[in-house]
Amino acid sequence: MDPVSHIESWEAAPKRHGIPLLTKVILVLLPLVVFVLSFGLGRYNVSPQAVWGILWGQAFNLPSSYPGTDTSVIMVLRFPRILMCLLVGAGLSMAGAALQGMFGNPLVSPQILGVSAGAGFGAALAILLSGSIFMIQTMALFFGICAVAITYAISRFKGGDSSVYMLVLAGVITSAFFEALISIIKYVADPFSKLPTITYWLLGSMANVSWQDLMMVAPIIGFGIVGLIIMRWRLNILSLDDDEARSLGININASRIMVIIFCTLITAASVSVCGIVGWVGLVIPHICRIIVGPNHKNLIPACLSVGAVYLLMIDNLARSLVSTEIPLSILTALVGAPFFAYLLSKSGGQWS
Amino acid sequence: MKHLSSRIIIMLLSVAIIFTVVGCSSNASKESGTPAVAEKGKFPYTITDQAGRNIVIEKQYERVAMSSVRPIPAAYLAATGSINELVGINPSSMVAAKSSMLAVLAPNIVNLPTGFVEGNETNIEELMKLKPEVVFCLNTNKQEIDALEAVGIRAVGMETNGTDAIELFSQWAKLIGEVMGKENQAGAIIDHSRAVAQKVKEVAQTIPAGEKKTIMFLYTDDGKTIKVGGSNLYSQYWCETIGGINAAAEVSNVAVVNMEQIYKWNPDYIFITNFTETQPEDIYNNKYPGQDWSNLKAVKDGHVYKIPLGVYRWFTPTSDGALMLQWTAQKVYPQYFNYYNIETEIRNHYSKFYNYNLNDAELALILKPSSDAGSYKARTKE
Amino acid sequence: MKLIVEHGRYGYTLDNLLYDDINFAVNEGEILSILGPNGVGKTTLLRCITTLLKWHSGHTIIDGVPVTGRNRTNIWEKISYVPQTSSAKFPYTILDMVLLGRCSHLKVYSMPSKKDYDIAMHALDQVGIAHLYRKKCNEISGGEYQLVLIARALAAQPQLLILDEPESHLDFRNQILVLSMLEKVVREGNLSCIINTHYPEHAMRLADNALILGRGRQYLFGKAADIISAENLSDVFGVKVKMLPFEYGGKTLSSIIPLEVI
Repeated sequence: MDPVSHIESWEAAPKRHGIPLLTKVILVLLPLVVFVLSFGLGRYNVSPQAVWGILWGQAFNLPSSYPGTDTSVIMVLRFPRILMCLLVGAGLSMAGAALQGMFGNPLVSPQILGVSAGAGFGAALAILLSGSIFMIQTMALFFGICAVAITYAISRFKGGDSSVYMLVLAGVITSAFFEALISIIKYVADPFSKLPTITYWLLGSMANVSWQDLMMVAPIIGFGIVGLIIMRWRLNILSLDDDEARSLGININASRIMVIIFCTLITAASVSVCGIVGWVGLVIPHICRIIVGPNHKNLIPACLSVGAVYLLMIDNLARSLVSTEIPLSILTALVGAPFFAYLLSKSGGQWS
Repeated sequence: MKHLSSRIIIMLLSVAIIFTVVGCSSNASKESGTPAVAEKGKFPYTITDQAGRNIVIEKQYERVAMSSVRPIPAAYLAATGSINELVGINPSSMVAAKSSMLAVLAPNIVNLPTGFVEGNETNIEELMKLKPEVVFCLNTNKQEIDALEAVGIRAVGMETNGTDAIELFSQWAKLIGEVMGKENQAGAIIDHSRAVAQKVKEVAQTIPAGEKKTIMFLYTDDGKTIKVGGSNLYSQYWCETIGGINAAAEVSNVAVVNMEQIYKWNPDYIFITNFTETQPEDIYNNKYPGQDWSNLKAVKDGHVYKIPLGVYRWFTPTSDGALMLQWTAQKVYPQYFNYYNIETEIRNHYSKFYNYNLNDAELALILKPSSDAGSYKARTKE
Repeated sequence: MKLIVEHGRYGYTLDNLLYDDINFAVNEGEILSILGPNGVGKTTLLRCITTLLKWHSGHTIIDGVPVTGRNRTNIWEKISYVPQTSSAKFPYTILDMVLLGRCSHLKVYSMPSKKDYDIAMHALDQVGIAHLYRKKCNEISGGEYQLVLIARALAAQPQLLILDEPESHLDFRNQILVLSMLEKVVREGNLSCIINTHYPEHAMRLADNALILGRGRQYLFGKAADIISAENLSDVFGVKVKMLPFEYGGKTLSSIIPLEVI
């Protein structure tokens, strides 16, 4: 075949080789649309005009003519919660995708290295010790990171490189260990007071998320998100066999450590403010692979968008559907599991 | 001949009864030193516990334990007048005792062992070391009841389901009184509680519909999760009996709600239980960053109160139930419930039913309790 | 670029060395073919040369500079490696897969640019499968996939191309295609090349020099025409062979026929 004509067809190809423009537009606009609409949802009725008026007024520091209740609903109750959902949803999805890429295994979730078990332990311990909210969050963050450090240390036993196989095994060990500790705490906790608190916390909730919480975790999660965006193309290489990846010129150990650090920070920070939210890190990457393909250069940003939207929509249900707050894990599982089954039935396990 | 045979029969019967009683309580009598002797004609008698079981009471029990149902030790004190027979209580009851008036009224209670309860389970072997004769436990815990009876310990099941706090306490007191042969003492507080409830209901019926207030019981708020008392719980009873409306009636039991739902309800009155450390100041000052209470009617009107803490947390069925009705009624409808002084009522109640004269400091602490009971830390005795 | 291995010593366990004091060199524009029986350590040797495994003693020296721990990653700016097998865990497109070869030339924080895409397409063109650029890696044949891996290696614009048995999974025709392509690419680009092969005929056809690895840490290194002889092959492989040289296209090719096992 004439080599020139191949290259000529390539000249026109970039538009056809990448993601369709419509998909890109939807991925960018959808979070914005859902973001705006979410302000109008909630148990307490605030009219769309009031929503708009309050946001506008706050943005430009205008005197408010709206009732204090409406303003509180928008600015204190809904705004930080919506932002937190976007942040955590995006972060967990991207972390899930990055770890699935790194391990070359689509069944991986951010919990695989033990961060959720560690963070859950930290929080349970703090609750048992009657700690303040700040102490609960800090201990969750601390032990989440500790757990991953332990996992990494175990994976380096025998002086070997931390191959993905060792990491997975080490993660299983660490998770099991911290889960056992959580069980002990649940056993000794006062069954009427501490135990329900711990149980509810572990189920995950965005209730009562404040601007302070956001200020504390947004930099951490943001750092992780930015890191994964920068590294996204190299995840393709990390998904290859060890020697193959090395031969393409990346430092596997350094790259893996960076991915682990970013994913751990995202997950530990998320767990510290809203408990353990499952299924997001596992299912969203799959959905995004079907939309944009497995190339992490596109997958990671897609996960950012879809993950943010997904968790925001789920939390909107959690806080608006019925009079009581529905724990997040229950909803993500109830929605995620059947949807995942549907995906599998359609794709047959392949992603195309 | 007839005279002699009837005497022989009576003697034989007495001997039989003595042997039965001695045999059953031989373990206990070895420790107490004096062999248990049946009061002629009283024992044995049969009662029904709240698990629907027929229980034979063969003797005056001297060693009593409580394995679950937190308010029972306090109810026991009111029903029998002392805690002398107690040999062990549930650890959660102990925590509650140390942070309530119970430790003041019955100081020895703080020395009771609690280690036989692990988590939510009673360790029968550990319990047996305390050599109890009768154990008050949860009526639905069939496993525990069977295990206790199997080792010869009398189990008495106590009910926790119910909305009517006065009635539920009354049933407890009646049952305890029957088991311990203190029916009269128990009857006194039962009758008083019911009488007060009746009077409050009658006054409440005179309140016109347009003046009815909505009330919300804030069960716990730890800054992260808000729980309220819905219907199908004591909150419903307290509200309705005093002529109020439970703002949280659309949710049931202890329910997790968010701030927006509370905005929607916008209750006139908020009562904070002693299951949480939260105090009215925390609500007025918006202590928790993600919550804004300032827009609520109850907050603007200054109608946020901490429920008093007497012999046990007043939110649940207690021997102070009459006082809870009187206190709450007066807070919500002061113009209707103006025929008593709550402080006098409390003093009289404690004097009459606990044989204790409250000093000013103790009275103040009952009416404005600290957060200890909600933090589950033990309070040091005043 | 000039690559020298000096006094190379390696074994997975110290009492079972594969090579002890092995020495050979690949000069600019030279093709070195490595031959040897199964299990003698051909793939391991490639990994040692490229420092994927660390020599117990001895060095790999590139352009006069010994490769040490510090400059190990820089090695991949000059060397490309085509592995024997590759398991694609995710079905990337062929172009995306070849694009990965550009990694060694990109900074840690950068993404491939249009220039990188063009180089990748050119590499695909060189191996003759540019028209497949949009296909997924799991939708092509084994042979085509091997070409993809070669294209990926070429996309890195290496000075030394190392291939581990590239023709093993190919059919009769594709083997010749790949060899011809390799020869053309290497000669045109003045690349050096190290190629493991099971086929002495391919080595004779393609290589300037040959390295035959024998059991017991034996090895032979020299010009292909000299080293690949019936005698050496018999010794090393334990097979009696007959070599039949003939002229074709201005070159002397050899047919190597195994007669019987010794």
